[in-house]
Amino acid sequence: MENLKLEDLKYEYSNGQQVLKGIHADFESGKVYAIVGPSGCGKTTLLSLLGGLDEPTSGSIKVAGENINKLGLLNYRKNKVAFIFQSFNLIDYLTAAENVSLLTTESPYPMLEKVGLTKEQAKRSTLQLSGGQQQRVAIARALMSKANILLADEPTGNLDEETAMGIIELLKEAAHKMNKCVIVVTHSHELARNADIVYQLKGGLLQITQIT
Amino acid sequence: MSLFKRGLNSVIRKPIKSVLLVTILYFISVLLLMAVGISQQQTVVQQEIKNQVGGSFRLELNGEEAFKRAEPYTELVEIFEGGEMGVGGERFYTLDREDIEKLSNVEGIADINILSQALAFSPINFENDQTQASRGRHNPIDDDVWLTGLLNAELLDEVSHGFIELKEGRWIEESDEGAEILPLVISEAIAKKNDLSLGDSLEFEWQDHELDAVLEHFDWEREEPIKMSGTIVGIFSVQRPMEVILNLMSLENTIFTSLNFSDDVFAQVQEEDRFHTRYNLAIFDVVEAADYDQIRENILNVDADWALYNLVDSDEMLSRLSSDLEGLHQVSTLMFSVVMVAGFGMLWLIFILWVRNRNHEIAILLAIGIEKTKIVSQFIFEALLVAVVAFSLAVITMPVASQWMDVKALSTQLQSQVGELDLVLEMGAVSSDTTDSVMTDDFYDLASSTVTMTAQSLLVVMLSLLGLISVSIMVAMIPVMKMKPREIFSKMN
Repeated sequence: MENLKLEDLKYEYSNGQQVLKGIHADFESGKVYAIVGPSGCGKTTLLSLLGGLDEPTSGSIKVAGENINKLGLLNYRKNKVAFIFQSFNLIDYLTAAENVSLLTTESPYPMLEKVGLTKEQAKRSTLQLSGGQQQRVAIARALMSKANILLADEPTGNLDEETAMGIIELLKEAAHKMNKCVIVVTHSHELARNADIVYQLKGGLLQITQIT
Repeated sequence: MSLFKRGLNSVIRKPIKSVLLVTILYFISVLLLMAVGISQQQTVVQQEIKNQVGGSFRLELNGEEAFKRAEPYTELVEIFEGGEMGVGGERFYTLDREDIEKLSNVEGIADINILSQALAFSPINFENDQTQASRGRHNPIDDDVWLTGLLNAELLDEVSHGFIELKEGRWIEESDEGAEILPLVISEAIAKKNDLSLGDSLEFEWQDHELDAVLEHFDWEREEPIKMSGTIVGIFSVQRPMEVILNLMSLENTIFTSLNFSDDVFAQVQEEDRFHTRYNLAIFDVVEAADYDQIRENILNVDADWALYNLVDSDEMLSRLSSDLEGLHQVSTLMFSVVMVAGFGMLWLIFILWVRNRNHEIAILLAIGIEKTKIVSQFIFEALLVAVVAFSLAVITMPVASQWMDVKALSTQLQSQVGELDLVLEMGAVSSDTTDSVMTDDFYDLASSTVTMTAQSLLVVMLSLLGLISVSIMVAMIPVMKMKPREIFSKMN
């Protein structure tokens, strides 16, 4: 189990505006965490820091007790975290199966089947898949990686309600059955309702608002 | 998935972009191939010139020095209205026979050919060849033949370059010097016209119209007319008709005879000491080309009147002959450089757009933990893959492409340069309505081929192209690669 621990995390933009003002949080494996908050409160910034795409102004992020800077951000992104984006972000000239295989040599078909794609669908170009199918491929790619921490930025933002529910179920399954630590930034009430723990980011600080 | 597989998929599955890049790289490849090919052609032609020139030395008169020596003894005589000739200093306008003998004895010299002056004679019992006149070419002395003194013929440019070829009998030999009967080697054209064969006698009369004016000026007497006769010992055929610059007569009307024949002519003129056989040219052939430099040094160490001579070795001849080709070589070098620079500029702009359109892909790859170096490598691999296709097409279509791009004009210029080389060799002016020349047909075929491509030159072009592409992409990717992942991430959203 790899816990993700934030200690007094602060972040300041280049113009001096402090968006995160000392965040303390613990994220455990096997749970779905939702981070909610108004637009512009710094949710995406927090996710960037959690994903190793940027460095905090001060404070630390530790995974399994080790500071991610010591691990190396590239190594951290490659092995410890996996991203699921709002706009799926699949590589358009690769098929669904090839997108899932970007970081692994294992066969992608079992995982794709797990997320609800047939083999025939898996062999299609991503441009030939629906939004929901593309997001499933993105989840499959994240699940295929070695990472135990899944970071999702508005994963249901571009999907209809029914499709979104399917994705939410997948994320829950990833956490509860595959013991991943799933952290989701979302505006979706439905998704927040389905999370195990909901954090609200307000005033640069993180507060728990819901525990299921 | 490896970067190679990703790259291959990108190239194959985005055909429009790939085809556009192939097209641009194809044209760059063709231009580079042409530049290198033309340069290679020059090198091949220059080497062929070297082979044709061979290892030899030519002893020529230093005209400036001769004039300086002759001037105090020279009087100007009017030979026709408005035309004058210097008389009195003739003895300075010749190579010294003793010096020639000394040089021929230098170790390493195999053979020697000597050419002495030519004099115009009117045929008495035969007629000259009128072929040149029938072609409409200018012939200042219509009915005359020219007797030219000769010792050995094999090294003469006319013979060694295939302009004339012995058909029957023999050339003039050393034993002919001082012979009682003048040996004559005539052209096949004269032989056929007059039904002549080996052993027949010819008579002619000296027609030096300039000499008439000289004799009149100095009030000298001579036996009128000065007649000569000789026996045909050889017949040569003219393989390529041309005009010999020195005496302005065609080869058909040239009769080779013993080296010192003019002594017999001048013996019939009073004040004979003013007129001597003039040796115009001596050619020395080396035994071993490898010893060329040592032989040259030995020659220059001979005690001879070097101020009066120009010793032209084949390297100097080569550089004289190939200096014009150097100009074309510089053109091809310039062409190569321009294409490389312009190609870099064009590719850099294309790749900037190419990379910009793939920011999304770059962000995804960075986000999932793929290193920047691998992303750059993938892009380079894609471009190189396309380049290989473009280059292969360029090589295959080279002959057609070069014609379409009017490289034939360069080839024509190359042929023209080779044609001018004939003039430099003083083998005769090549008239504009014929391709006859000193150089063999094979040589002209060589010069006329559009480009010459060797494995080495193909490799040079390919490596240049690959280097050009790699550098262009890397430079184009600098702005993106300098961005932090967060910046790229925000572009994704």
